[in-house]
Amino acid sequence: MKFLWLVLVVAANSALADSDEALIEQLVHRPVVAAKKTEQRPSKTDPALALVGQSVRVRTVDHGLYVGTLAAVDASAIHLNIVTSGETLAYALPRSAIAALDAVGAP
Amino acid sequence: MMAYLLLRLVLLIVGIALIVRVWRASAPHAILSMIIPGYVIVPMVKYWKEPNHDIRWHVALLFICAMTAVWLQNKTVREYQAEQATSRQQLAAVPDESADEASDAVVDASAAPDDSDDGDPLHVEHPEKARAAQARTQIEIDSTSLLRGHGPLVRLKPTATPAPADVFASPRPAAVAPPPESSAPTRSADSVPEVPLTFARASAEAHYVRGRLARDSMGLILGLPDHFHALGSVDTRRIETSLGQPLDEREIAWVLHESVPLSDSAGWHVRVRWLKDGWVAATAIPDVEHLLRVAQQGGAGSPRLVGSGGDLLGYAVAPSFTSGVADWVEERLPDGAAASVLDCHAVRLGRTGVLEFSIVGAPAGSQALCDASVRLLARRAAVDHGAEYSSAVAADAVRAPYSLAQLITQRQ
Repeated sequence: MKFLWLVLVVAANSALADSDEALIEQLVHRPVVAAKKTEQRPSKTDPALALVGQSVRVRTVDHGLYVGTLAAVDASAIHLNIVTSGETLAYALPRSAIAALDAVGAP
Repeated sequence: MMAYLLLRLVLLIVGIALIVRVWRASAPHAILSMIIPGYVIVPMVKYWKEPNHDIRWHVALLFICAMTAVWLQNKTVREYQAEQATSRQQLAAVPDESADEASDAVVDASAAPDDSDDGDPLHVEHPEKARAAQARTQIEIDSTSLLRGHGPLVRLKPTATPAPADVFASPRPAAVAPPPESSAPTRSADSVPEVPLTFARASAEAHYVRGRLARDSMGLILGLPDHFHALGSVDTRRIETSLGQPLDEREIAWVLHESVPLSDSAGWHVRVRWLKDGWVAATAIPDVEHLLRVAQQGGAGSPRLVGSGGDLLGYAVAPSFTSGVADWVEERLPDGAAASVLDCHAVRLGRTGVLEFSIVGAPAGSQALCDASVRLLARRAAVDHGAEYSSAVAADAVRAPYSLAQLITQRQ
């Protein structure tokens, strides 16, 4: 019982600590891990395939946002054409980073 | 110093003994005594007459030791300040070149003339002499490893294939150019035969600050997290000068993580800038998608925030605004670059201006570290002598010529 209380106190202190500070320390000292590249064919039932050619909004797992025309889809990434001031840029976003993909105009 | 450490040790031991005694009587009281300052009075009174759980002598000893520790601490600080004052007087006696060193040392803020003075000295608390960095004469840039532990998240290929270029917008160029004939201030009085100011020398001679960095004449305080230290504007300008970069009049400091040396080719730092433009309206921020579309239109005068330039691809972290602090991460393709980079921004709004924290040119995929760093610093900073930002403008306040949304989109 006493041990449980002690664990609770330690957990409470950890929770009160600044989460950003803890995150920074974790990320700064994280060892470099080479990303594995895997070339796979997209699944035939991939819902993203239906959006190819449309203007889409992509939300990422890091609360990011990208808007562009969905040019192509494969198993590891989606490919956007992003129009900026004066030019169109091809941009690939890994599938693992995507939280949501929907057509612009959809709620 | 030893006495102080010994006292702290005694405090720790007595504190543990106190908690143990209270714990035997009541675990909740013991826990509350640990986490609520002053709560120890409750079990002390409650168990006053219980010989097995009485803690009155523990509390008395704690009180005496604590008072003595505070007294010792104050005494040490006073001695340190006196020592600093003496060194300032010695520096003041040396004219010309050493003037900048004096201004970079711990000085009283009242000596600062005004905000517009470029040489406005920093009032530094808990300064730490820099651990002289191992000077490097050749510095190479590897922008893909700017922030450790992160590989590129995305691959970018522009429609028009540009020539590869160094996209790192930090002060370290791909190869350090021969040092210019610099008119930068020299730090040492004994450097009478003018020695060219190189990046290696400027970074090795930089003075790091820990704990807190204040610029009293501007009403700014940077609270530095445990593993961060900062360089004041005198040092940052020397480094920028050594690299032949134009001086940024609004830059007041760089903040670095202690594990990332300034001379490290994979290093990164947070640029801190004070935009004394007045009160910024932050009440009407449109939705993020609208902000992105507006920002991607680009080309509306010179940007107010530091950045990599080029084209905005999207937000690696979408803008958010809470308690006077806004933060976001832009993914950009700099002009002529083959790979995208991240510009991480956090701004703390004040009544008289905006305090900006930016990491420029971080590699794609490092948004979590990048954003957390600038956001943490912005949250711990204080502007206008600690006055809170208000969404309602004061009658006599000067209004900035832009809103928060316009600052984020850089369309003003």
